[in-house]
Amino acid sequence: MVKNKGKISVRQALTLFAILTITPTVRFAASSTALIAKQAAWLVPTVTAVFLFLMLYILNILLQGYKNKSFTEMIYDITSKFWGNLIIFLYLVWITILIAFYLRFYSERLVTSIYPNVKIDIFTISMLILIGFIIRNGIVVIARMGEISFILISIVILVLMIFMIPTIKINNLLPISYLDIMPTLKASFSGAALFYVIYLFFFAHEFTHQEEFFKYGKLTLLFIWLINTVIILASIGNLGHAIISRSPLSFLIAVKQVTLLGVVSGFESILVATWIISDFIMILVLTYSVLNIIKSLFKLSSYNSFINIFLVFLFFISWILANNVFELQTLSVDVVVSGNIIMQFILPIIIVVIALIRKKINIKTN
Amino acid sequence: MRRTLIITLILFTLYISAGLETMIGGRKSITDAFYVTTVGLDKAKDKIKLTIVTQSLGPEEETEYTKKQDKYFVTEGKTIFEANRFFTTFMDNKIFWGHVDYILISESLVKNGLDTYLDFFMRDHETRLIAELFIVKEYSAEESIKLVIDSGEDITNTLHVLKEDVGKLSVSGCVPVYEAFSTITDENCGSNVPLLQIIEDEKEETDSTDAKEASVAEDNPKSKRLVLDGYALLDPESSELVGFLTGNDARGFNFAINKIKSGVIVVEDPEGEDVTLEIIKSKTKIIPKFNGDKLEVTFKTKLSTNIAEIDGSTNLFTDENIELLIKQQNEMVKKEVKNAIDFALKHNIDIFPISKVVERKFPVKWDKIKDDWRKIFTEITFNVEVDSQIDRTYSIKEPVLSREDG
Amino acid sequence: MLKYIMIIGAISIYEIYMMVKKRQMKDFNAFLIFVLIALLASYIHVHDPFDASLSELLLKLVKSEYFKGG
Repeated sequence: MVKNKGKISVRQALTLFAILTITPTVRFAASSTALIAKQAAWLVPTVTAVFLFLMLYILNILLQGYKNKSFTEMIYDITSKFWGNLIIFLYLVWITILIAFYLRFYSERLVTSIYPNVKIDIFTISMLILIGFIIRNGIVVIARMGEISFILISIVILVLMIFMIPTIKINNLLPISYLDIMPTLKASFSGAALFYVIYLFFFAHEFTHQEEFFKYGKLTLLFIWLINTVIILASIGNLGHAIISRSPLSFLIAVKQVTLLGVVSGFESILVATWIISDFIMILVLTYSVLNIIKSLFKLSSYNSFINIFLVFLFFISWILANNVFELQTLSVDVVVSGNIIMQFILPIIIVVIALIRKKINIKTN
Repeated sequence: MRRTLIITLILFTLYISAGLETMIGGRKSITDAFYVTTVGLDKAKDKIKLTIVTQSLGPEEETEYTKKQDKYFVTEGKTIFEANRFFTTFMDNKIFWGHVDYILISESLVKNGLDTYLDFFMRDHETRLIAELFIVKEYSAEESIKLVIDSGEDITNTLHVLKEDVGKLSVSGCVPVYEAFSTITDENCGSNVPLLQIIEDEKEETDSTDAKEASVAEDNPKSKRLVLDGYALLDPESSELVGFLTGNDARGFNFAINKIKSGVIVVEDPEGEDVTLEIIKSKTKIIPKFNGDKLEVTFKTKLSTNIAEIDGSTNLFTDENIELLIKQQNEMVKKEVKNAIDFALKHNIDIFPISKVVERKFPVKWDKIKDDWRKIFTEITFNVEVDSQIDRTYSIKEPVLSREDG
Repeated sequence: MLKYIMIIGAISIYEIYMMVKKRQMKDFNAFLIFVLIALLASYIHVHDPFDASLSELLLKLVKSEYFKGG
């Protein structure tokens, strides 16, 4: 047990990953898929899941080949020092942009949905202070918070679904024909961009029970598929793709319509609260990844001194990132999705292929 | 470690649930707010006149007096949002839009299209998309709100009752904002919005023997009532108002779009006396069929009714007589549906919308023809088939008038 | 700008003090880089020297439709 002190199990890590996907899913899964695949959007997560399953398999090969090593160590071992530095630096920049992006989106969302006349800095700063406070406690605390949040978020989404399912209109979800194949495939591209598990590999040296990665990975994938499908079904089924594809907060406006027994309404505030929790976990985990990258890249003895200054930097970068929310939304569709695909699929696959060629790992290690 | 975890969770829960009470100015106390429940939109020269009916909640609201006192306020502005902000110049409470239930729009405003006015209700973060839309015929929305409130009633409640009871006659319906928005954004189908009318009661001014009635008539020579009857139909492309379907034509439309809950059909028995049938169940299928490139659409209505009142003395419960009633009933429903179809063809708008049915049934074919839909729509051959039955009657079978022989 | 410099300065002094205390002075150079980057970011945030946000630059790079039409 002493050996595992300060470490988390693979199951916990994958729970964190599941929460990481909730924020973007709630924000844009329904609207981005509805825009391209229209009424057939609810099929998109199934197509995406196939891609993700293949990717999970590839990542499993990598993880089993390098037990108790972080992704940075793997990259250094597989590539040369120069290329390793370059790739890791790319990840550093990209994840930093991603955190700033989510930080900004989180505050913008509060300002658009609930508090329109409030100074937006308050939300950003309070989140950063909280992050700075928690992150010092290390990954074990983060993982435990993740587990609790996971249960909380799942219950909330489940309950909302139960309220929303009776009002789904089947006509909004049909017809499905071969004409929908291409749009569905195209839309699955944006769904695949939520496969953040690779960013968690930067602290893979803190995982235990790595041999269970594939097993729990499949369960996580099932969860993600389910959440995506029901969110899209409920949003489009209730309001139709015309409204959903137009709304930047599509699931929120769908939830806004929920009334219980014609009296109780306002469930969107529960959703916003859960949303903040998942935002918080996401920013927390990604910041933890970045700190690990910084530690490896600059060969630091500890990243603790860098937490505050990095968070201050994040604050500024979240403001430099975009002038307004329209830029942010366009950025999400035009840049972040493709960027994520490169960082989460193309680069890792290249790395695994090189590793296989150079016989650093082999498929049989599973 | 556990302590840190617990403290953080508590802090975090407080943080999200309390909404940072002291730091954020967006919160408002429940007693300080006026809750907008009904909104009226009218045209005022080149501006928009906004009428809001508010309810305030809180301790004093419990008393009967305040409950009856619905307040309404009127402002004007270039846009709805601007007009809304002008309220703050004279109202003594904050306005909260999260409880809007009904939106009344005057006919004159919709003449140039409904789409621009929906934007505010779709975009605003406080309004609910399930608020229901009505178009007020001839009169302004303000007048209709005033009419009800001045008579001492609660407009929101009145509209609520009208909406709840609309199924009794099925001559109108309910269209929430999001549904209207969905159909307006679809350039192939025409939108429908329930129609509110102000009806003037025609009093017989002479020969009124009832003294009480006479005094009412003196105070208010022509008493007016707000009724929910019919639909306003909007053009698919411009969302401009093209016409109204009222009374039984509106019911025919409801038959076609499957929105019949109940209703009354009056037919005649063999001796020409009235027999009243109550609609219990109705289901219409729109069946499109392509003959080459020609589209043929069949409305297949299945209907079942109960006998609710018999004015004659004939025994109706024979096969022959029931068949006779069914035949009349079929003809009436058929005529009503045909009237709705004629309206659609006359204005060339797909109100049912058949485009959606075709899209669902022939998605591939639809992809090819969707751009010419308005042209194709005028060339459709329509068939109406009604298949009905009379199931039962209520507590008594023989009519009151059928006296025993001898 | 001044308040940002003060915040960054305060954080730097505290962190350097902690570094000295924990004998982690070998991290000092890297830390200095981060302080400079943070100062640079605060400068960009306040003065906006490129007259464009990061999004605009990135979106121009991918030739986004955001700049089309109008």
